[in-house]
Amino acid sequence: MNITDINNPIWGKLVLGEVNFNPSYLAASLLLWRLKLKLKEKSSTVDVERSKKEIFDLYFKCKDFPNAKADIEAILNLK
Amino acid sequence: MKRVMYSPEEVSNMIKQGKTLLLAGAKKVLKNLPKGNWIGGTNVYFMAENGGMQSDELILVSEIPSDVVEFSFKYYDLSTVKNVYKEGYENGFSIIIMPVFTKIHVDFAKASPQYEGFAMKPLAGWVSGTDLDKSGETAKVFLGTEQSVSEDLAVVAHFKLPKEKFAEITIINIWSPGNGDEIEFLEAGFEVKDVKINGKITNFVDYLINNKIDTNLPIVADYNGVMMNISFKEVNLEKKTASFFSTTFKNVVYKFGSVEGDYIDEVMKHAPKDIETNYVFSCNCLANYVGHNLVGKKTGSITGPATFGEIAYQLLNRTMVNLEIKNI
Repeated sequence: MNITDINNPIWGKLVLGEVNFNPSYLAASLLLWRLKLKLKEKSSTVDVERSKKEIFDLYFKCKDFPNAKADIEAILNLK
Repeated sequence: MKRVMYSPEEVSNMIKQGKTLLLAGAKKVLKNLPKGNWIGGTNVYFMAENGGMQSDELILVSEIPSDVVEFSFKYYDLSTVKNVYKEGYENGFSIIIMPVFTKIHVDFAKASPQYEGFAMKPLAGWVSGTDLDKSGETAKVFLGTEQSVSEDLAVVAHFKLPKEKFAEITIINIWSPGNGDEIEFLEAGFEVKDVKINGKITNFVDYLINNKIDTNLPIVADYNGVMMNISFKEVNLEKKTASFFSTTFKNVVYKFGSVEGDYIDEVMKHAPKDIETNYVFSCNCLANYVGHNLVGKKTGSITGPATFGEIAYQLLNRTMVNLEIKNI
């Protein structure tokens, strides 16, 4: 498991709702909901990059918390 | 079972001993407490150690454990509440209390998911209220470090944890979207006139009447795997508007909620492992207290105020919110 790469395309797929994932870490669920809602209205490249960074930063900050850790592992295994 | 309900004299002694406290109680008991490390809000409904109860004499106490290494308490107003997430300690948690139906409550409900740093640091809390049987009262919050009271500000306690600990917020929600029509709101807000029902614009009150819908049921949406409830406050037949205890959002599909089984059984079934022994702070919704007739009933050993709104990062409704401190 490696959460050091924000350029992994999975983060973009996640915020754009191109992969279906329900986090077990509550903060991530709520943040991802808000990001997806925002990108539904406006999804310029800048908006997508900003959203990717927000969810990535949350998981990076909380990477040692059990629920966040489990989510990261599951996200990085999504296709 | 941990004791949580105390007399004002006992709480005064705890404050004088230097304990750090989160308090819920009637205005008449909170306003006379001494200066010290506490914040509080008005509320007379509690899930107490002996079950659900109403009291304007006793105070519900959540004591902050010694894991906390530093703290700061302050008020936030309408212009500064947007900073509440980013001003929390890097590793820690914050507790917020705000008075019901104030501008700050409405702004937080609608806009908090857009505030800078949303969800980056744990923020839990509740909405203070009044005795439902007494008219003319207003909800209050208290800042014990200043021995002051406000009816239009939010009060916040930020707590710092050592690096080997972290705070985690969980919610227990037994409701899920039912099988009925899809409801979409045209704007975010606490009040609504027209909505989209299965894609067609309709007056919401007409829809409720024509379909004989029980407005004791919340409307529920799936926010990325987290079920979010909105309870009805009032249906105004003259104005043809419906109002809620929380805000609805645009571009979200809601349905009337359904729940199976007994409330207490379902809560305990949905509760995270070890929550009963680990939680530091908890609150439940007044609509659950009233709607499920929780007077004298216990939700395991979880205690806390039964509030006019719960906060787990953002405003929630008809939900139980818990905050735990855990080892990394």
